[in-house]
Amino acid sequence: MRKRFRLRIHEALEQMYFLGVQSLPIVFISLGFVGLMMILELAFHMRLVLKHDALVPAFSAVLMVRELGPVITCLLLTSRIGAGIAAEIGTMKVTEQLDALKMLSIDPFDYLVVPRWVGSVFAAISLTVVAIAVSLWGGALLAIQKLGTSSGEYFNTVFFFVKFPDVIRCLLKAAVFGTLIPFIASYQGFRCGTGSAAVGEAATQAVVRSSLAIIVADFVLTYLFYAI
Amino acid sequence: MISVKQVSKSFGERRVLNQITMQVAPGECVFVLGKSGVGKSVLLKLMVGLNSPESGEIHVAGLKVDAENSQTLAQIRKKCGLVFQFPALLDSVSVFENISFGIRAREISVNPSEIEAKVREKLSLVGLNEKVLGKFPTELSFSTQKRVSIARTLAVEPDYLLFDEPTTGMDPIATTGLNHLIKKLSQELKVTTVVVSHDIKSAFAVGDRMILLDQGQIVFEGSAEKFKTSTASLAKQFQEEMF
Amino acid sequence: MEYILNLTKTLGGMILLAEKWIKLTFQGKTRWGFVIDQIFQVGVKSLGMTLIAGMFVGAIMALQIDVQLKDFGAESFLGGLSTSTTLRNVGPVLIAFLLSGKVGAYTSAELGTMEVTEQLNAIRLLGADPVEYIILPRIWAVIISSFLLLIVGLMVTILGGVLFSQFIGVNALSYIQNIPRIVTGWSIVLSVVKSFVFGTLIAIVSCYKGYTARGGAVGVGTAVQSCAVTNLILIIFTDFFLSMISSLLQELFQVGYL
Repeated sequence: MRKRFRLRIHEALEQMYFLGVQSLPIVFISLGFVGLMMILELAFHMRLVLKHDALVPAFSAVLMVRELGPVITCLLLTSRIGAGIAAEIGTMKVTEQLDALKMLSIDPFDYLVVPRWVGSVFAAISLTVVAIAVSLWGGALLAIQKLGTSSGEYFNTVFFFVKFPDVIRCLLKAAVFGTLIPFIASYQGFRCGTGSAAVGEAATQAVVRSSLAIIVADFVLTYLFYAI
Repeated sequence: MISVKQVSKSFGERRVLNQITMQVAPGECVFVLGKSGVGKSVLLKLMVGLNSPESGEIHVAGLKVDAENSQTLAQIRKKCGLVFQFPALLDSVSVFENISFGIRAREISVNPSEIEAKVREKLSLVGLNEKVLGKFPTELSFSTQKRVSIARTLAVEPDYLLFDEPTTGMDPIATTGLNHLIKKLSQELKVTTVVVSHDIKSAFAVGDRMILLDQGQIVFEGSAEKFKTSTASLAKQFQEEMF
Repeated sequence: MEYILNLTKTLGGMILLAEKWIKLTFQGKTRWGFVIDQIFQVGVKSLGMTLIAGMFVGAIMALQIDVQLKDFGAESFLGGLSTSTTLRNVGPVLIAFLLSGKVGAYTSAELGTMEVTEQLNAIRLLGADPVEYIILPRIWAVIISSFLLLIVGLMVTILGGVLFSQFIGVNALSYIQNIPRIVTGWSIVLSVVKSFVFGTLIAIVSCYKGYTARGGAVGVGTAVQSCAVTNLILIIFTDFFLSMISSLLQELFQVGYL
């Protein structure tokens, strides 16, 4: 039986900074634009369907919190860190650093995977919170400009329709996605072949498989949360 | 004729070449020796414009090497062949395609049967069996890949041959064969050859002249005989390695 | 500061590459046989993933829009609304994300490996232009295969929506009948345009990132990673701008509302 894993605080903090804080600018900019886009698109749809756009802010906010916020943030995070983790561990395997770790009787799983897992879950949750805030703010800008909603109205409807359980479920989704990324990526890294071509291959597979896993997991979670 | 005048090159803080001046006469075979990481390979890349010096000039066949000037650079490259340290074969095409690549690209010949004859000739020159022609580079051993890469360079029949660590990773028998080949090319075909290496034995066997690089500077330059009696400290280390 | 400088450098480099791509194409230098080869290699490999992703994206949107429409009491619009949202936005963006991971990262890894193993230098020295010989056919192959995959993926999202709506107890027939009431020709044009633009972006970004990879196995990994990130950001940007242009055109010319 394998012993209980040890959490290396120092490495975990380092990964939190590296995976979380350094992804902040990307998430900030991208999700701002997603917020704008949702208002734009939903305004089009609502005018088409309901002939008025009073429900646009609420509809877009609910969609952001329940789906797009965590999914798009974590897909961004995947491309930012998934490839990185796989390439890093793959390179360590190619250059026999993994064997060197084992010779020093350091468990590669404890040393490499666990800190990344902690860092990634932290990053996913906190970045999702930031992402949703930014996208709501971006949405507010456009709604005020284009739909003529006042900012008070905007946030009132948003907070009326987005319920507290939605927020909890959203963070749960982020935590699950944040778990999927490092495990899939480091799995790809550990089974990396030799040579620089193999490292590229591992990085590619890590991005693809974790993105796909996030989409499938999102479907399953949405179904569990909202359809049952 | 290759002439290098006061060339310097740094990577970040590290100055790998410091005011290097050297010349290679037509038909001569020069070995550039030195420890790993002293900028020997960089020197070769500067000669064909794959890298640019910070100061100084390099002339090949009377033309100035300038990475910005693509026309003269193309003329210079037409005359040169560089064998990379690692085989650098195109993974996606067969050995035959690899060797014939330069013949097609430089339009030396467009006649398929002529191209095939040339490819077979160069292949036998590097001592390889024709069975490898249909294979892909990843199916071959490192030493075979390296020989294919030499055949590919020879296929364009260059006036100037530049080798980057040709014998690294090759077995002793292949090394001897390669040394003979280099010697033959420089003596019979009057190909001007520059070999970058840390293989002192090959240098003695083949080289007309040796240049020893240390800490970005030339510490010794001259014939094999002179090298044996040199008092430069690095030359002494190399001598001990040899005898 | 360094961040902004890097961004400028990347954008500039990509524009130069795009310029060369257009110039060489008009000079008729594309080897179409090789392009078709590559399309099969890249496209067929990515087809399965695109189908799965399309199914799930369609199902997620159908489910989520259904739940939300019930909150607002407008569930009769489910089929049209979820299909339209998926086709115009969420579908192209999410499927392009996955393709940038699959097709883009594959291309950048392949080119990056060629660069760090000096294959590209060897081509230069043997007297050919690596952009013409290696990059040009790959750009076309990635554009065409991403475009086709996106279109296939989007069609599958519709299927995913229909199948899933049946599963959650919405009548599939009324779901389907609802689709043409909201999905306009304009929306389909927009999603096709988006697919093409995203395909082009993925091609340019991944070829540029692979072409400029430096420094061994680590360099290849970095190239893949920064290729994926750049792709995603640019996809989100252009998605917004294309939606904005479409809405401006609609306001100016009163088109798109059936």
